Amino acid sequence: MFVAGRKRKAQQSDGAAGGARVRARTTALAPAAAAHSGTGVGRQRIEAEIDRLYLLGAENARERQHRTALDYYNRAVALAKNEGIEDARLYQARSHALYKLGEFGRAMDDAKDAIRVDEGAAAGYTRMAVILAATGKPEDALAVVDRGLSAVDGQAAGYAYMETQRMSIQRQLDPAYVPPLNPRTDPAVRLPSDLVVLILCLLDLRALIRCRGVARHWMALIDAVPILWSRLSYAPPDQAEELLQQMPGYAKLRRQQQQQQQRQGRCRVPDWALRHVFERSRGGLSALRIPDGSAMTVATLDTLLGHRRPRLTCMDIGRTAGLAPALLTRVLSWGLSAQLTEIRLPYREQVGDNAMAAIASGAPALRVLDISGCAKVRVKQLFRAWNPMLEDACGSTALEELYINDHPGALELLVFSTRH
Amino acid sequence: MSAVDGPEPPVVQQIMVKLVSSDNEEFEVSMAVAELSMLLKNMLGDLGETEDAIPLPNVTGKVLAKVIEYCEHHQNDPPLIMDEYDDVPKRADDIAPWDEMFMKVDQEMLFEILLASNYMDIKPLLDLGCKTVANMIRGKSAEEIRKQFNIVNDFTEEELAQIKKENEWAETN
Repeated sequence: MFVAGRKRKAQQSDGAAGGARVRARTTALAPAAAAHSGTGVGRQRIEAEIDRLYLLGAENARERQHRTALDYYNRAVALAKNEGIEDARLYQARSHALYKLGEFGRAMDDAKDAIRVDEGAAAGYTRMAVILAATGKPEDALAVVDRGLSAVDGQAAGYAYMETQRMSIQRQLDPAYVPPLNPRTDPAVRLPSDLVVLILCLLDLRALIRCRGVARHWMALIDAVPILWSRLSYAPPDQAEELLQQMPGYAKLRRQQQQQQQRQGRCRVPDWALRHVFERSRGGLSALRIPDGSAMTVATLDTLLGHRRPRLTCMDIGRTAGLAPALLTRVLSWGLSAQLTEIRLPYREQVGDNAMAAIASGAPALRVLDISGCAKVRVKQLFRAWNPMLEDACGSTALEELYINDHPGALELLVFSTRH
Repeated sequence: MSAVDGPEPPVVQQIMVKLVSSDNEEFEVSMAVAELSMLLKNMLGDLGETEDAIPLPNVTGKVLAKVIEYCEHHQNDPPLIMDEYDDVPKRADDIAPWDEMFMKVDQEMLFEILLASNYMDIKPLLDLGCKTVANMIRGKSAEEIRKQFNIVNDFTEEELAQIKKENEWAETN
């Protein structure tokens, strides 16, 4: 009992410190607390449960599982109602989930409830305005946003986004309206372009293409930098994927998944995306990466092959990337060139002596070769393929790194390298 | 009698460097910390040992304090080995826990840190900042990116329809 009392006190002082959400909660809480005096501990447990449900919902919303999120929020709201708690945060969250599910009417009700409970519920105003604007009532939307902007504290979390929404609605009313760029929070405006390029370089193709659709100045910036497009990387390597790889039986599981995905064509990069890449990179495509978990299909490859030969310097085909055996030969014969310095083909069953010979003659400048687990490559043949070069150039072949982990001939190589 | 037995830590004569922010706040850091910044390293190389404070007119005190906090934590890190052939895109998900906590700041501060590390030429901090921003972008839809950075969608309806058609692939999954 004593503990519960202390907690409530702490919450109130929090509210006084300024958090609008907390404040709204405690004011709603006070009469209910009086009514339920004596059940402080039980109540505390219920509050914790509401918090837990809310967080679970928020997590699902982040993962775009709005149906599940809605479920959690519904439970949280029901539980809160039972206790006589009115929490603007719950209404706001549920309103967002409903909006995402296309239930504008109910989303609107929740947004209104949020504002009723807490005058400063920024997300409530924003949600209302967005729904009004989406249903063809931009004038009303503008009025709501303006009401929100005057009611909400300028330092509150959702304030800046409300301002942004206001400009969007203004644009809807008047297409000629040019919204000012936000220099404070927009990295493309705030940071010099070389830094922005450094950041964008870290993104995969999918994220880069999404970034093009953010705003005009983002699109202009991204399209103007060929280097961003010079690395064709499919899906980003996934951390979870790496952990999974260490599990026994993983390869088989993954193969099954991939076959399924290939059938559904889920990982297929559309032709227009490849054309984008080629156009923006101005023919300077320098790296082809098909990381673990992505799959390359015939159609994708045909678009690649249809393009004039890029200046590839790196070819990296992930261990579990889906690539049919016939395609590999085509990729190799297409990509081999004097500029190529890096080839990684780990755990490719179909890579054999012929492929090695082709690589040895086709890519003289090769520096890094990764054929870990390619059991069909015979080490002797490998040396034969590279040996002439070794001898011709007095041992100064370009090859600097050779990865043959997990290979039956690894011991043989050890003997070889000690002999030379 | 001391509770801790063992040799006294050797007393190292630490050379201190004074830095002054744009708003005239003064900081004193050890040479090892200052030299994480290539700008300061080069300056100190030119000046030699100096009693004078080094002005950093592009960095405010609030940001400089944060930058120094980072440098002090990382002063004993092994130097980055630069590979001239290293064109492998850097992985953005390998952020150390301390660094991740360090980067839990508001967006404005994040950009300030990025700008300061760029100006002071602190490569690891610049990398960390870039990775943090990239992680804010990755996996988000265009609308979510707009919301993240408060950007107004200024495309026309037709342009949006075109982008939507094109991005169908990028938006799914």
